[in-house]
Amino acid sequence: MGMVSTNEFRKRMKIMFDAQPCMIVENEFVKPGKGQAFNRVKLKNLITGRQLEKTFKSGDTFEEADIVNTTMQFLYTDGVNYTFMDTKSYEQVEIPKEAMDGAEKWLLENTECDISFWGDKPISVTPPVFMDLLITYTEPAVKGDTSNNVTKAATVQTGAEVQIPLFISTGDKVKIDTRTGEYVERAK
Amino acid sequence: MREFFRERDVLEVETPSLSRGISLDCHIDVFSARWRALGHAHSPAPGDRDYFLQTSPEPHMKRLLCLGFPDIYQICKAFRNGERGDRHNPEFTMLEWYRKGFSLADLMNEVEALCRMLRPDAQVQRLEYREAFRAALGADPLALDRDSLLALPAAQGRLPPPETLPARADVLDFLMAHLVEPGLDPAMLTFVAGFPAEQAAQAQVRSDDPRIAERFEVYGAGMELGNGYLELADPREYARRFLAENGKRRAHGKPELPVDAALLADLERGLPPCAGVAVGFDRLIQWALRLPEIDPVLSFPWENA
Repeated sequence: MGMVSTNEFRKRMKIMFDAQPCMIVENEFVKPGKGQAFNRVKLKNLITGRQLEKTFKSGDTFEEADIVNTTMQFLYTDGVNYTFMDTKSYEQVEIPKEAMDGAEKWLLENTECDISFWGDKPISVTPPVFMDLLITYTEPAVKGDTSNNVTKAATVQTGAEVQIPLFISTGDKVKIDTRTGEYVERAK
Repeated sequence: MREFFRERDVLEVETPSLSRGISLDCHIDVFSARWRALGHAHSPAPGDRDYFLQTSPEPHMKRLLCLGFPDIYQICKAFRNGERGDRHNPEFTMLEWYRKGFSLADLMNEVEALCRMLRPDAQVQRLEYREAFRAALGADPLALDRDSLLALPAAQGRLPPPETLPARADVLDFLMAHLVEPGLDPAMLTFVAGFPAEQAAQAQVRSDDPRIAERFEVYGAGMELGNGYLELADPREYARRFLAENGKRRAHGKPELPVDAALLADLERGLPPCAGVAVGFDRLIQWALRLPEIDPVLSFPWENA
């Protein structure tokens, strides 16, 4: 990958910092009227997910990180690895559970995900923001329920547990926000 | 804007964008253009030379004052190489004016009046550099040397590598721009006066305290809107400062730039006592319209120019 200088920094650009691939979240060029220019940069470490703030001298150069984002379709899992297929090349890739970052909770067969690779190492898997999932088990709603609960626990078809409103029953479909794991609304 | 100056009997002038000399500053880089004396087909020729796009109309306006002009103002393009960001466009518009016989306080009042014309509800505060520093960092900038400044607790974790700030003035600049300025209340128009002498640029130093320059800056919405001086008159002092700036440029690995000989020559005629201020016109409009970035104020921002 090539070198890039702070003058070329753009949001979402990926550079190597401290030997880790990082994404530029924010880049501020700061130059006092009579003084040197610096770039105040917010970086997100793409491996650990942690954000850090650094101040670089304007004009400093960095190596671009070899990060590729592709859309891949989830095929199946054996519980240890999750197999995805590139919808254009039909190439398959196995991603270990640790690299899934919890995304596996929301995947149905053929669900498309955004996957980031650093070289050939998968570093993030992002499922669709919303998934419509079938409730496979939840306690039935009891008429005249005087408890103070607003939600109840439910299991969806992927095996994940979510909190749903009391009026939803087993066999219903619900829309879940995969970023938070929260119920959004009833799905058709 | 023009009405504002007409009412005050300040004459509008127009000075060159291209010039043989440049006002030297270690941290301001220039665009240059090649003059081909005999035309493109016959270059290179002995008469070929580089001209520089002006980083500010200051040198020419001072020359006009030396040549007998009255109070003058100009709204013109200025060019600074390598400066691009949310508040920087390499080609920008400068509003600069000079008032003979004004004190720094007089000029600050006039800048305030101009700003109020654009935003009548503006709240204004005046601070001394030392005060602003103390409030933000808990230390007196005039009393500390470079190492003590770098060691300030409030600065830890927010400094660049120390090698990038070789001189005390560099550290002060950094702390001011990155820690003090952003801490100023963005809702207020803030005048900061009393900059340290090392950052005097083309300002005089205070007669009662030569550690302090007769210089102020005005900030609004977290950005520097303007920079004003009680103008230095002594051409020998200008020459000395220009040489020092070139020395700093060398130390930072930057090419030296030609000293503005025409300015030094005209200064020998005598610059009348005056105060001058340079205001980033685009930023002023940005501030007046409460916009977070400079691009909406430009017809074609840099990448699309």
